[in-house]
Amino acid sequence: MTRSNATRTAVATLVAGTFLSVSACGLGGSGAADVREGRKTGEVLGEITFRTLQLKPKFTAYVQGVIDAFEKKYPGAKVRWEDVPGDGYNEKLVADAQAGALPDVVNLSTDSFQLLGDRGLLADVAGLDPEVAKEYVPGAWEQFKLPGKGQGVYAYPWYVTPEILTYNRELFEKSGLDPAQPPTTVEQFFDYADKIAAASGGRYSAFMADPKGRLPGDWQKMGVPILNGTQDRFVFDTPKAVEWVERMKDLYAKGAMPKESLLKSDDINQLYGGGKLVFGPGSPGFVKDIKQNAPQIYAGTRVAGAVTGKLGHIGIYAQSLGIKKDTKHLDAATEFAKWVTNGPNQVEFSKNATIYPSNAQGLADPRFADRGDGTDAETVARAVGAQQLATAALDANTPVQWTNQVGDAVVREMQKAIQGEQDPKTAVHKAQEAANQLLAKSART
Amino acid sequence: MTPGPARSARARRKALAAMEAETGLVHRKWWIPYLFLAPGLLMVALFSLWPFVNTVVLSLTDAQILRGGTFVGFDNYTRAFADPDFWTAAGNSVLYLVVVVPCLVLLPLALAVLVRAKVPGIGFFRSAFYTPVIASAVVVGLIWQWVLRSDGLVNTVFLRLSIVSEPIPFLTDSAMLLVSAMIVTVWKGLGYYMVFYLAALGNVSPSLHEAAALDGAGPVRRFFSITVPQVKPMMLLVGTLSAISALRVFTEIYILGGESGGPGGGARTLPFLIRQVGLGFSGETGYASALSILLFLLTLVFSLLGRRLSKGDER
Amino acid sequence: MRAAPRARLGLAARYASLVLMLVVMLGPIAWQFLTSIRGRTENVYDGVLPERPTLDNYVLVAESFPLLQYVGNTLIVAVLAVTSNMLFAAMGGYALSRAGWKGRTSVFTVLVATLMFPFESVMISMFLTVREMGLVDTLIGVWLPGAVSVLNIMVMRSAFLAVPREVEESAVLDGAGEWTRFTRLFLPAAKGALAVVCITSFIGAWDDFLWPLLVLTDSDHYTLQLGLKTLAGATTTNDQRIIAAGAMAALLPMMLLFFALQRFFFKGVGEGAVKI
Repeated sequence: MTRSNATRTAVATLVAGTFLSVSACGLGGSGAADVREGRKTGEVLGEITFRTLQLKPKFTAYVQGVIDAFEKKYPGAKVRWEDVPGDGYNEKLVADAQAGALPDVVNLSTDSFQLLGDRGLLADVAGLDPEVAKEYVPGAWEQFKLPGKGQGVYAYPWYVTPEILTYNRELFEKSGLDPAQPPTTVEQFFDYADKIAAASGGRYSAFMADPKGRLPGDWQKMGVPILNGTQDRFVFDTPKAVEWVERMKDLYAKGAMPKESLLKSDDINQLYGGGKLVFGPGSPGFVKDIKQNAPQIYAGTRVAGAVTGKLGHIGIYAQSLGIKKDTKHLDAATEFAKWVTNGPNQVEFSKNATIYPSNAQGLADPRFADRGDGTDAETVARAVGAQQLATAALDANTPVQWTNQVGDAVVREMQKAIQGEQDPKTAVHKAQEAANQLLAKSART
Repeated sequence: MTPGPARSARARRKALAAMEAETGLVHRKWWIPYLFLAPGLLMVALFSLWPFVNTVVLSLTDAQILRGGTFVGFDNYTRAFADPDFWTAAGNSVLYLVVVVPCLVLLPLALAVLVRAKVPGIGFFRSAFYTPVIASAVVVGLIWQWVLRSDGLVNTVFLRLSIVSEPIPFLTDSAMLLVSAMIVTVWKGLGYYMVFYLAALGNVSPSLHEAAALDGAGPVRRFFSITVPQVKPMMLLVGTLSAISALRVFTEIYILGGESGGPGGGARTLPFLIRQVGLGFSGETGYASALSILLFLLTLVFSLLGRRLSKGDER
Repeated sequence: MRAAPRARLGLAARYASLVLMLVVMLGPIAWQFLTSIRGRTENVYDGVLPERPTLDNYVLVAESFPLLQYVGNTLIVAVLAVTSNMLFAAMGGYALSRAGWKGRTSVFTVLVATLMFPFESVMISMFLTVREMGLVDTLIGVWLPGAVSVLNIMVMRSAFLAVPREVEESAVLDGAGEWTRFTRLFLPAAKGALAVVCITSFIGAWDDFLWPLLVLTDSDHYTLQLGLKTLAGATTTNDQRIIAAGAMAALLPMMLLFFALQRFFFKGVGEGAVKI
């Protein structure tokens, strides 16, 4: 008797638990509907949480300084700073969002911005304070609009890291190329790689295949349209895109790329730093890495503007600060985010790190125009990066619709084609079909 | 296993008698074992069963990451069965299990026997063999890439010795990539399961070995006729655990085959597919949950098969 | 007299195989160690052996983040996990190994089944549960879900299964109660398995990354693995030497623990009350 009662209780608990957990786990929707929007009161008061992406311990002093100055200016406000490592950052954000416990001010990468913004968990900062737009580089500001969400901007632009071109001067010369004439188009880049492959005798490679990182950027630079006019279908199945696959396939067979780089490219620093790769990663941060880890290779590293092809300019990828939509202290949160991203604070930050301000005033700082004597790669990289940022525009960015899943689906077809297991034409066609299927699925709301 | 409701009184008496025979003189109240198990059961209920119920419910919806879903019945399951990616992944997972489990049941036992001897410095060797278990995945990945690349250690040696004329595509061919990942899994598992066997071997009496040696039995024969029968319960446990972890393999494929999971995704296992489907901006929580449930069912089938096999073996 | 050279040959063969295995197994750690002692001006990607070995990188690791504090936090979690797992897993394993109670097969089946749930699919729910309990950002919250793992219960069960019923019966005849039998008879008979549980739960707690990351927000509460991740970062520079030195520093305590415990694997026979 007792035991059957116990069984019944257990079943009842389980059933009740199911309903509870269902509502907890997002079936009831943790979307915009149940988020109670925060309101402005005009007073900067209260304790807010501020989450950054991997800034401790290197920038502890800088960030703490920014916070202290803010608290001094607004004595009624208090900032609790949490710094989270890069690995697992997005998982933690999702778990916190699921629990309704996002920080008030949170550093977002492109992916996490899209996710949280699309789900209605971020405040529209343009709606709160339209004037603030002119503080930032236009591209950076525009980047935080979302398709289908009108003129709203859902995060404050923070620091930017531009794309550049890095290469090994010695290997360049060995392959009969002129280090003063770096490639500027994708086609030319491939021509150079062809020469390098012919001259290397298998001792070094030209570049990492890395189709995931290369697309859709390479296509955009070759003038391939990615989306249709209404932005709801992929249309990259063009002869140009097929040509890209054919050249990649040809170069891969000739040994212009490490065979394994078709699948993963995380050993790029090892290869470049070991003198086995001509073109290194395209970020200023990498130049600093190489300086630390491979001083000899660093000495022979040259830096130039990124390959931009038909576009003529690079895209712009800014880190951002989002405001939790239902924050209790909206005034403090927005004022603080503006404070962190203002000109002086961003310039100060860029002195400590290989980053660039998204703030118009910050980018005008003279230190970004200084090329030194033109031999130190780190200094040149800073100047080249800043120079490119001046003309950067969003049409060179990966479209929002090209999600990680779309990228994976396209890359799978490309890998088969580059390895010669599939005809390039078929590959591009199948890739577009798969991409459109995914797009249709995520459009469902 | 579960008797029908209309179990006769005679059958019940028979069962009671059987239980009596099984327990002999040891009598205990029915709740005592539960008292002993209480902490374990509580943890399991809170942190495994409860979330699992959640997963089951989610698998019947079209929920996406951070977006509520609606009930869609078994749509996610029918979608999985119609998805060639699912079948490839399930096939890879099963293949993984079939190859890796026998290796992980036998090789660590051999290793344990090797380091069991009380010879000088053996403690150092035992500890050293355990290090792969605690090495970071990133470093393990880098080292094995360095060994298996097309211009890596193995290929360089093989080419030099003219064993092959073309580099073996350990990492760039889906089937070879699976084999390479299996090698890494076995390599990591050697030290881990060695420890389990060392504990079990502690109970094997050395006098048995001495007696057999006097009878002229060589080391190999002694291994199979004395050691193996003695550690059989542990072999069963290792078999179960390694089967479960083989069906969960993600990291090895990821560190060797990149985020696409081999060329064209051909080396993806079920857990790999689950992550790819469930994470990120368009993460489909509902579909990923359904795939998780299918993975669970697959594991269940294999562990039942394993029990059947081991029972048949005992007879 | 014939036996001596033969034994020596056997010993040589044994050492030969041991050394061969050593090379295969020790590779990654050795490589990481070599990287960690490379000098500041060296190219870390070139060659294997350091040209100008130094211990400076270890000093830098200790200086760049509160190493001792993180080690302390991790030790708290690890000690809790080891204690709770050894006790509760032994209790659970004991119950499951003893015949004659209703529901044994069902409980066993359910427990094994939970081993098969993929962690990723239950992670978010686990997090929400720990949150509900108010344990976010506490070390207790980090420890709790792993307080007693089913795997360890299985290990203990399999060790206790080896204890014959006759031994238990004679203890009953001597008037020993259930708890006495458990602590005086069964636990000593399973020292090796207890050592296994100790090692696996210690390493589990020491190595875990994703779960502590979800639970902890204040970096004062960080465990060592979280702290180590801050050594390599997107905006910070990726100095391979420092990263390697950090990893080595995290590894050393585990190696020491293992070295200290491995002798226990062999004390089951002769010491305990059980002779097989």
